[in-house]
Amino acid sequence: MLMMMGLRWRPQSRFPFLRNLVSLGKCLKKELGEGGGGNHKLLLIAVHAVLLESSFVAFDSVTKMKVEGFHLLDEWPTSEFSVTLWYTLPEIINQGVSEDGIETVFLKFRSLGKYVNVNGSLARNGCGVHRVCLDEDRLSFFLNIMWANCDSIKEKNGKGSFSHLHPEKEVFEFWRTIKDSLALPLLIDLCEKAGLPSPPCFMRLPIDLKLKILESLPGVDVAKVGCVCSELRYLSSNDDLWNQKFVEQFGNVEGLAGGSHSKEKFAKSWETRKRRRMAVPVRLGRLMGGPHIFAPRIIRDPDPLREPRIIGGDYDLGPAFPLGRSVRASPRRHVIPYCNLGIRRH
Amino acid sequence: MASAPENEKNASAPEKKTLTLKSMINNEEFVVDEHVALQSVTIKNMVDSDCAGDVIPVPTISGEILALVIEYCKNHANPSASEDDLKKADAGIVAKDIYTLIDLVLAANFLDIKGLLEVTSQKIADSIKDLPHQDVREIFGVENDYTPEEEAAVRAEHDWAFEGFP
Repeated sequence: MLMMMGLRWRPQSRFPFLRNLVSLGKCLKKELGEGGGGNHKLLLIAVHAVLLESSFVAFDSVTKMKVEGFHLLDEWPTSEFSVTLWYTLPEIINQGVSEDGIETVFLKFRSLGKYVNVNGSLARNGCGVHRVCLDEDRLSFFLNIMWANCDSIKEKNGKGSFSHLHPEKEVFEFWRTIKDSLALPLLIDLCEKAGLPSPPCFMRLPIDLKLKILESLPGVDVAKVGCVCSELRYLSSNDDLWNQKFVEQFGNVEGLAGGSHSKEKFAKSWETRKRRRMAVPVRLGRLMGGPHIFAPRIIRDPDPLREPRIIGGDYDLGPAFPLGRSVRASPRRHVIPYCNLGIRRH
Repeated sequence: MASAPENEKNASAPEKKTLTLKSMINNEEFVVDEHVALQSVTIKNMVDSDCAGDVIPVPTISGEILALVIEYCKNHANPSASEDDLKKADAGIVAKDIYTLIDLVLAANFLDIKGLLEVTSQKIADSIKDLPHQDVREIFGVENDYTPEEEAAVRAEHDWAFEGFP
């Protein structure tokens, strides 16, 4: 698993959740600006944004109607509070109201000092309650920084004066918690209850597992996955992931100095290697470091009594002479169980 | 394998302890030897902390998936299985469609069985390897939330990865 503590994301790959949150914030500007309880509002809106992103729509339990626009509450809470929000899915509304009414889920927010508990469950016969506890002060602090950054510097590299605090990491953790612990389980419960097909298969996975699967892909495929949708683009732009891919692919860390923009570095090395491969005659390739486009080639120690058999690439075309034998056929050669010719450099 | 079983001390030992795992989705029950079930860290923690009764309910995992998980655990609890045998058996277990694999990876994650998690995520990764992103979308059932302009921009940014793709 990726170590979440050390996550670094490329600043220019905008976090889709933040984009949604900012546009939601703009629509709610008037409501946000009025009265006190700013932190409560921010937290409610942030959770609301994750639910909307997960294909829920807000639902008014009194009028039994979908909540149009961005109206959330008539009265915003100020100090200690307990608030309930209802949600359903557009597909359920389109099915029309059955005798039992519309299937919904609700989120119940309750403040406890600086913490806010959020419980989510099916509105009717909800057997499982999904629960998260949020640190309101901490979260609003970081959300505010990200919000301010997004608003003022737009597409610039996102480096605010608070960049040393990694607010994006904090907000990512928040998003992951809400998404994995509330939105996804509620979505699965609600689809099952309403007889809808369950959510698309890959998107049902928690973020950790999505990252784990990306880790199992070669770098070039991780890049393609980034073109699938904005969430996967965000997840596939992680610097640690690309550092790992760089080492897997090129077998060294020389091109990685600095540790950030690892994807660009990977792309650059990939292009360089491709050009080299096309431009340099194969025979000379070895002298220039040898192209090993895929994994470093691992060749088992050959039987000392036979000519070493070297398969593939430039070695196939090289001199028929046993390569490096004179160097390696020392009395102690049996202690070298593998000779990894793929990463030899000349 | 790593988990050297201690159940071989005495062949005529009283009787092997078994556990019953019950899928809460379709109420299917599976009786398994304890040392097989204990490969799941989740179940091990339950047993160690004495919160496991005779029947251990397994929420959110169907009987079909639980059967695969148990097959994996049985293979890996067998001390005489060679590494090659295990590899072959693992490959057989994950030779499934993507929906089953997604359920299986969720189950491996929930039950905390590291080896199964590894082989299943690798298999899912392999199923989209060397494919253009449009195919990945279809296989994973992911909705394209890019505007055409955005998609073109992302595609251009990753042009280097698309050699040989239209």
